Amino acid sequence: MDYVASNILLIEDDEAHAELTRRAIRKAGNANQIDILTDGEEALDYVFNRGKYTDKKKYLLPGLIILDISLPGIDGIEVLKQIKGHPVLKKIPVIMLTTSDREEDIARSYSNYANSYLTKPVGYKQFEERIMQIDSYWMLINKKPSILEA
Amino acid sequence: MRKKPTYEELEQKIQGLEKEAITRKRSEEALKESNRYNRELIEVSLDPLLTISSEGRITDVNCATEKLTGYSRDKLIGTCFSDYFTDPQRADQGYLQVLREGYIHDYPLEVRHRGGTVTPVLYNASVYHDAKGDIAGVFAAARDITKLRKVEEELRKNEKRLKDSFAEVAAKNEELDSFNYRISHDLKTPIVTIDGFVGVLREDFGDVLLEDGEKYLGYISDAARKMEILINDILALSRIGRVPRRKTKFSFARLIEDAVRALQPRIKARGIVVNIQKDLPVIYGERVRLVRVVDNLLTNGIKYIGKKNPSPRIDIGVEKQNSQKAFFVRDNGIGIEKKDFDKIFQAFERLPSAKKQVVEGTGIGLTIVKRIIERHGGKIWLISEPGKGSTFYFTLKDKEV
Repeated sequence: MDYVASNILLIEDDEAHAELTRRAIRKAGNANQIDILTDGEEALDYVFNRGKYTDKKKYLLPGLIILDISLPGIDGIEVLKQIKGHPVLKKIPVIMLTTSDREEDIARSYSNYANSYLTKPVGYKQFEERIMQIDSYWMLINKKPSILEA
Repeated sequence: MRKKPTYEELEQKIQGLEKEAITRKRSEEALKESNRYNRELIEVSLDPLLTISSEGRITDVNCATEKLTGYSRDKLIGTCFSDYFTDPQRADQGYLQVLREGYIHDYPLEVRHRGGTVTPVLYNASVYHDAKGDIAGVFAAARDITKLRKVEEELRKNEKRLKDSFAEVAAKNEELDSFNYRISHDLKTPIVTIDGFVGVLREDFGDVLLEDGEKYLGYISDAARKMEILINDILALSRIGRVPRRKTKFSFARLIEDAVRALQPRIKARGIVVNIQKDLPVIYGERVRLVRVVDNLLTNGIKYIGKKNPSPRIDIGVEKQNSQKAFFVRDNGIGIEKKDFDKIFQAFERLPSAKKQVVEGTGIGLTIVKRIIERHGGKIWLISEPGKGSTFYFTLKDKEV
């Protein structure tokens, strides 16, 4: 499957939070491309190349997925479940990024094989710093496979 | 030949006979009166009484028994006593027990009235003897316990109602906690945005903002920060009820030392002398939460120590109160009026006197403390006087200290 290890897919319904995240990724300066999708169904269409995302050459799989939990319609946990239930997609690291620190949300995320769980901190600097940490750890330090195979 | 009695002798004999007749009549009357008296006593008894022969037949009843069964005395006498109960076998067992042991006490039975109504009764019965000392029969007295039963029934109903409403309140509380939790989380999302974009504005447009613009951004950002603290407090409060923490054994002294160390800058800034009692016990409980209790009480002590206090001081220790170990945090600060003692433990209550001293604060701190203590099966209370200071006491369940 075609995939671009340096791409990040952000699934986030809050436009403002998406914008803050995009800024922080840009600021981190690692030249990582970020695509933003705002609901769970669309996110699944994207990664499964369905609906308007059938063009596999155009819509490439990302090297990292940052996923919010509360999404309209299909929520983040369900998106996670489907990605991690797929023999190829399951290899893409998925990071949960949410305001929730509910024990249930944390537990459900890990039971469905989330690779990490982070909360959105209040405070511009803190938020920016966290995103930059994600970028630097998962996109620079962490080693990813060169191609995704079943 | 008998000698013919003289007239005087005859006279004397007649007088003697007359005297004897009078005496006999008197004793017959006395006997009659005594019988009447005994019968009267039996009849006036409100408790149904009956006597039963050694063959189990009714030999006598009073009118209370007539009333209870709906049969007249004539009808009852000679019949089998156990026929008048809903459970004749049980009645027989009771009767045999009397013969065997000499008596029974509060033996529960149900009498069936001729008309069908059933009366719950308790029987007290014992054997009685004839002149030779042989068992002549059983004397039994019943007590109608219909009213008692009703009261018992009512009590049971009340208890159930109480239990139901208790469960309802508990469920409502849980619902409220989870509602609090949800709403607090949902409120966090806009705060991330507000504070985030204040930062963006500063960064991207900082150089074009006039002086006032920067000040206004400061207001927005401070407000967001305050709201965050409030939300975190509500989250913490709702979590105490929902999420149990691991309980461990740990040194109370260590816990206090840690809390004091963390607050050292503020303690120093106010020049407060903190005195920790020696030989504090090891306690058992949710450590993270008990840390919060001590931290909160200490922080309050510091906050309200009084701006013009010449020798600010806080003492921490443990003492016996009503044969229980009560931990205390005592300050010589501004103190609290007695009428406000309950208020300060209620959520969002901040006393005007407190606001005057310290602007910050959500009014949830002591509510959280109280909840944590109550979850540990303990109690929290205070002694205080305005101008003299406050002492907050708390206990933990005995076995946990």
